[in-house]
Parts: sequence; C-alpha cells; structure tokens
Amino acid sequence: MTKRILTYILAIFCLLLVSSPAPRSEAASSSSLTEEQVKAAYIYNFAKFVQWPETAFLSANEPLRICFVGSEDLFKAMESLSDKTIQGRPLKISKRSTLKTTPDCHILFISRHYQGEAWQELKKNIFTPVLTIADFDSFVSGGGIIELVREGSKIRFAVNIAAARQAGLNLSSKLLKLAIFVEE
Amino acid sequence: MDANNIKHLLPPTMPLLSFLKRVLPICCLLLIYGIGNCLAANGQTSNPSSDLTIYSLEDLMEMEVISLAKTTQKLSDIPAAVFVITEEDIRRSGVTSIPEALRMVPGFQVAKIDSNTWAVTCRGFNDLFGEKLLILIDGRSIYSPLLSGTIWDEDVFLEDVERIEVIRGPGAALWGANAVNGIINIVTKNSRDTQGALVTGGAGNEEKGFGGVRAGSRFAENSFYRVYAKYFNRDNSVFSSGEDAADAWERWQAGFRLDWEKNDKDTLVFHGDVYTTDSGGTTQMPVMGPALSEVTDFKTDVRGWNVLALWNHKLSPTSDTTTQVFFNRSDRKEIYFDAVQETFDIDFQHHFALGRRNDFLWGLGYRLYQDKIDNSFRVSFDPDSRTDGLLSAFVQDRITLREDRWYLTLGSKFEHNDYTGFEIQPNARLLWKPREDISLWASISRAVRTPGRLDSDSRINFIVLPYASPPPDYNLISLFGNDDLESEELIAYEAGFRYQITPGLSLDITGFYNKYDNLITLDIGTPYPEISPAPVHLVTPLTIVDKMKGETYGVEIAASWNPADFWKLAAAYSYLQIHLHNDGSVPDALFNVEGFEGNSPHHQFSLQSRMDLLDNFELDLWLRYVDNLPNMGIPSYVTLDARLGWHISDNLELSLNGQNLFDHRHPEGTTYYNEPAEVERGFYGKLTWRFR
Repeated sequence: MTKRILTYILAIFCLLLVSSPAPRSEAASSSSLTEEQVKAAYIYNFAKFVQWPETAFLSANEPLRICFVGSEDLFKAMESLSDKTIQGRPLKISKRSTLKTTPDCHILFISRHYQGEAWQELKKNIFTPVLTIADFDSFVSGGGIIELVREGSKIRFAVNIAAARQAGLNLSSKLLKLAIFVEE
Repeated sequence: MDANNIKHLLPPTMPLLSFLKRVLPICCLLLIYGIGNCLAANGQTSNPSSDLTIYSLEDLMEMEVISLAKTTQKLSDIPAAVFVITEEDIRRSGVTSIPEALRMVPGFQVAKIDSNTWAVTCRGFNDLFGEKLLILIDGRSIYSPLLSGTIWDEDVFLEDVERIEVIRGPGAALWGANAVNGIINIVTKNSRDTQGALVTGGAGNEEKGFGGVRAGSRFAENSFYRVYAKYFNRDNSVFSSGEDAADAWERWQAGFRLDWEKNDKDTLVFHGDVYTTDSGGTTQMPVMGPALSEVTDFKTDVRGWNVLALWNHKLSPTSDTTTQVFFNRSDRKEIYFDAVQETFDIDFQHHFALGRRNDFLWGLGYRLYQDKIDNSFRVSFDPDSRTDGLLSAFVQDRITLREDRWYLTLGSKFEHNDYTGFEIQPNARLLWKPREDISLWASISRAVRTPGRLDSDSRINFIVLPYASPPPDYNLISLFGNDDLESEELIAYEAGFRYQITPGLSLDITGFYNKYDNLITLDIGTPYPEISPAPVHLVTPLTIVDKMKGETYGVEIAASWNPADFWKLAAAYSYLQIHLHNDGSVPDALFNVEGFEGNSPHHQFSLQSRMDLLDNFELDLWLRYVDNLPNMGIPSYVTLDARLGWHISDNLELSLNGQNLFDHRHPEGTTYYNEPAEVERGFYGKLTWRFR
C-alpha cells in the first residue's frame, strides 16, 4: 500500500521535472526579495499608475525625480532602477537630508525617522505636485498619499485620494482597486 | 564521498529500495535534462535577476518578505536546506504548538510521546531531547546544557510568531556547537506589527481549554510595545490499554516586547517572558525490594523567566553591528531530580561589505551557564552544581565569484568549552544560479555536539534485578556519565536544487550524506558491591562512551503549487537511511547498536491543501504519513488534520479543527523513562478577535 503511494509520489515528481515549461526569461520568483527591494519595486509601480499635471514638468524629456528622505537601504535598492524610464521619462533618484528641500521632487519617500517633520510639513501643503509615500503608521490618514503597510510577512499599501487630488495628481483606478484601504 | 561505499551499505532485500534504484536513474536523467534545458536557455536571456521592474503590483502584494537570521538574504540564495514556516502556515494548519508546526518541514521527525513530551529531530537520531538540534527563540538558545537537548518547557504565543526559520543540516559555522543536524529559529513579530488588541480562545476534547490576550501600543514616535498572556490545558493521553495516562498539562505564560527605533541608525529590542507549567507522567521506578520496581504517577512543575536585549547599530549602508544579551532561568521540579538552571549570554557581531565582492560577518560571544541539582535515587549528578563558560568566535565571508551567478561562502566557528576544550567548526558552501529561478548549491561542513552534564556527570539507576543468593539479593543496573568524552563529530556533505518553475509552482530538493564519529553509546563495566543505599547490592555499571560511528544519507523534497487563486498545495517527502556501528572496542551486539537505526522513520510524507471558499471561508486539510519505527515497536501511521475557518467579520475569526482524524489513537514514540502513551483523535473550536 505505502509502496504504491510512494510510487505515485515519485512519478509525480518526475513528471514535474519533465513537464516543466519552456524556460522563461522573466521569472517572477516569489519569496526571494528583501523588504527594501519589494518597497522599491512598489515605488516603481506606483510611478506607472500616477498622472502628474503638465505643470510638473518643464519639458517632455525632463526626468522623473524620485527623492528619499532617510531610508538609506531603500535608496540603494531604488538606485538599481536608475537606468529605467517611466512614462517615457528617465529617472533621477536622489537623497535629501530634510523635507524642506523637496518641492522639486515628483515622488518623495519619507522614512519613519522623519515622521515628526512630515506631520508639520504635510499641514503646510508644500508637497504640490508631489506623490508622497511613507511606511509609517497613519501616514495616509494624516494627509500623505500612499502608505506602505506591513501585514505579517507581506507588504501592502493604502491610498488617500483626497490628498492626491489636492496635490493635483490623478491615481489610476487600478491603484485604488488594489489598495487595502482608501481614504476618501 | 564514495558512491560505491553507499551502495554496499544498502540492505539488499528491501523491495522499495530496489524500486528506487530502478526509478532514480530515470529521475536523475530527467534532472540533468532539465538543468541542460536551463543552461541552454541561459545563453538567450539577458540577466533579469536584479531587475525589480518585472514585478506587478499584484505580484508584490503576495510576496513574502524574508530576512534570515544573522544577516538578511534572499531565500533562494541561501546555500543550505532552508525552510520557512510563515504566520499563515501556522494559522491555517490548526496547530497549537511549535513542535506540531515543525511537522511541515520536510525531513523533520516530530513525535508526540505523551501529552507534554515531544521528540523533535531531523536526519535521524530520534530522541526525547532532540540532542542534535539547536533551537532558538528570537536568537535565544533554549538548548539545555544539563540534558544536552531541548525539552519543550519554553513556549511562545503562536499569534506573535512571524515565522519559523529552519535550517536542516549543520549550522555550526555560525551558530556554534550543537547545531549539528539542524537549527530552528522562532522569530516573533516586531511590536510595530502587533498594535491594537487581540483576544483568542477555544476548547475541545484534547485541547481542553486555551486562550490568549495581547495588547500593543506606542509610547513614543517609533517606539512600540506589546504585552501578552496565554494559557492552555491539555488532556491526558492514553496508554495502549486505553487507560488514561497521568500526563495532563497546564501552562501559563506572560511576556512583553518593546521595539524602539531610536533613529535611522539605532534599533533596540527588549523582550521577556515568565511562565509556569504543571504536567506529569507515569514511570517505573526501580526499588531495592522484592517488587524490584513500582509504577508511579508523578508531577512535574517548571517555572522560568527570561529577558533579552538587542541593539542594532548601522555604521553605514553596508556595515552594521548587533549586540545581544540574554538571561534565562528555569526551576524544574520532577520525580527524577530538581534542577535550577541559569544561562547568561552576550553576543556581538559585525557585518560589512568588503569591496564589491565580499560580504563579511564576524562575531564574538560568551556564555555562562550554571545549575544546582537536587539529586534523587533514580538520577544524580556529581558534582551537583556546576558553572561552565563557553567562549566563541566566528568568521564568515560570502564571496561573489560572479554577480548573480556564483557565490562561495566560507566560514568557521571557534569555540572553547569546559568539557572538550577547543573546537573548530568550518564550512564551505557554493551556490550557482544558472538562471534567476534556479539555484543549485553544495556544501561541506564539520559540526560537533559537545557533551553536557548528563553525558558527563550523571548516574541513572535504571533497573533492579534479582541476584542469585547468597546475598546480595539485588543487582542494580546503573548508567554512568563519563567526563572523558570527546565531542560527537559530524562531517556533512549536502547538495540542493531549487526551482521556481512558475510563480505558482516551486520545487526544492536536498540530498545529504553525513558521517559521524565519537557518537555516544554504552559500554558495560565490572560489577561491584555498593553499601548505600541499603541493603548491600551489586552495581552493574553501564558507561557512556564515545565509541560509535555512523553514516546517514537521505533526500528531502518540498514542493508547493497554487493550482488556482483560491487553492494552495504543499507537499513534502523525505527518505532517510541510518547505519550505526561501534568502533570495535565495544561489541555492537552488546546494546544492539543497529537497533537504534530503527528509531527514525525511513519515509515521511506530508500533503497540505488550503482552499479559500466563497468570500470568507477557509478549508484546510493536512495528510501525513510516517514510516514505522521497528526499534520502538511503533507501526507506521497516516493521519489527517482538518480545519474549517470562517471570517465572520474583518475582526472576528472562528475555526473548527480536527486532529489525527484517521484513527481513534496511535503511538508516535517512546522514551526510556516514562511509560509509553498514545495520541488521540482531537477536536477543538477557536475564536479570535482583533481590533485596533
């Protein structure tokens, strides 16, 4: 009886090996990225699903500026994408030491160590038209646009549409559909 | 490793083996074909590995973020047999304890011996104390130097567990002695992720009642904490006669964790737990009287507490240090002996990148252990109190031979302990990624298990036999420790293959060949008369000696497949072969050394199915097969666990669980000490409420 079960198991494993599909060049292997890499990939994806107002760019080939305040590791992970383009624009990835020098950014990631400063600056409405992203609690309800939320071992995101509208940004419906939480 | 050597070790009569022999070459051919395929494809593909742009939002949302202890690494890039049990795995399997969860790991043997005793082993040497495994809770070792093994006195609140990282095979180069056949690291969640409150509880026939509460909050910006308390009460198991065993288990535990991110560079973590447990069992005590032995029910009480502090400091993006201090105390009272054990441990490690190719890790540690034993007639220690120090250092370099393709890891641990002196435990590991979705690895390592107090300083009075008149009337068979033991030594050869066939289908195969030396076994000494305790009797001494050698080899396979969005399957199979023999100075037949080979199952299989039904129901099934254990007289068994989960609302979850459904009861293991008991079919319901 057990021998027969084992025969089947072995046969299945052998089948798995033979029937493995033609090798794919772009294997999205799950469970193999670090937290920073996942967050960087998120930021790259967000950029694809956001429309900036025309006034945000001076020329058609002006780079899309992605800025980081804090989060050294995430900045490094993001730098591996610096040769990509989004919406036809090259990427310019930079670090800033304070939130006060960021109005020229199109995307601004704020690490949690700057959250005190973030609460103050968010109130002043200086982030126009900036897609603000952070990974600390209550960012979205406090007026930020996208918050990366840790759910167990997975990372999800929440969105504040009102804040996006106020910043003059248009978020695609796909983004809103996938968000775990949408602040109206 | 010599292939012919293995071949002639195979017993010729097993039909299954001959079958395997027939099938394996075909499998190997297919494997080579598969790898060849991959290599052929390799030439055509541009290097996609570090390209983060290939992931869609949907991919990202389902991605598990893994950071393996000591340094963070991608799971597919670890040149060792790694397996991770996630929070979701624990929740959906319906397990109520850590040992049960470990049954998911391919190649792990988990036997529930009675209601409060587990034998957890890997790659053979099944034993009550799992003496060749190192078990850590958040980096804190719960391996007992007194018993040279782990008793599952310590526990965690399952809802706090983020994941359980398991490495099969030696991890000694990083973790040090006793990480011989595997390491288990139970990682609890950052208190940032356990904000709000959670209340859980349930009851059933075997799980008579259990519950837990947790509350988490923040006390400053980036400073979070949680406190929790848990309780359970488990029913008696039964003897094979059907009578209740006296081994019910009641346990309380409470604790806290505090995570403080001081700034971009410094993170501090503090945690602590306190627990008290009440259990028992039935044993046959030797008696120097006409009855020779008496069967006694006994009670075991354990109380303990621990604290741990950890400081992580970033020097630069590629360099950081971690300093960890912990203290552990347990106070155990039982029929065999009472023991107070204390461990203090301090560890420092520094991780940095050296140029573009070298990822360097080194560390220093010191551990101070002391115990105080209250001896009994059955078990005694000499000296009854002992303090030991353990000094250790390790270095490891992960060398990028070719970016995204070839990695070489070289490392070693250097230790000085009070039993065997200086020990070196090096390893070399090579990882090859012919493609981003395929990894092949191979390793050679040396690991040791150092003797503990039980091996070195104990005397266990086993059995009293009648002795021919004239007096003495009794012959006392006693087991004596030996303070002249060498460390048990392992040289392990391992190789593995991981293939992410599609995003929903993955395969992980590991093979190993282990060669052991200086394994502990028994020798018989010359009988001598003893006056105390009265009456005068003869003692036949059995002495622990390091005269056994062994070879083990096996294969462990894990596969996971998502046939549909709502359905996940996970399968694990393991094959194990053990050969043990004495080195010639002690005859094998004396204690039937070969018999010990039959303490671990040759074959184990597990299949888990998880389905999301409708919008808020979950149906989870878990089938397991464990081969027979001839030496313990345990027949093979097949069991089924089932769970029906219902998310009544976003905050409220109800589950109905059935465990060991296929039979009324079955035995899984035995010990030398207690009367063997059997595991019964169980049902329980559980309600969990979360709110912020």
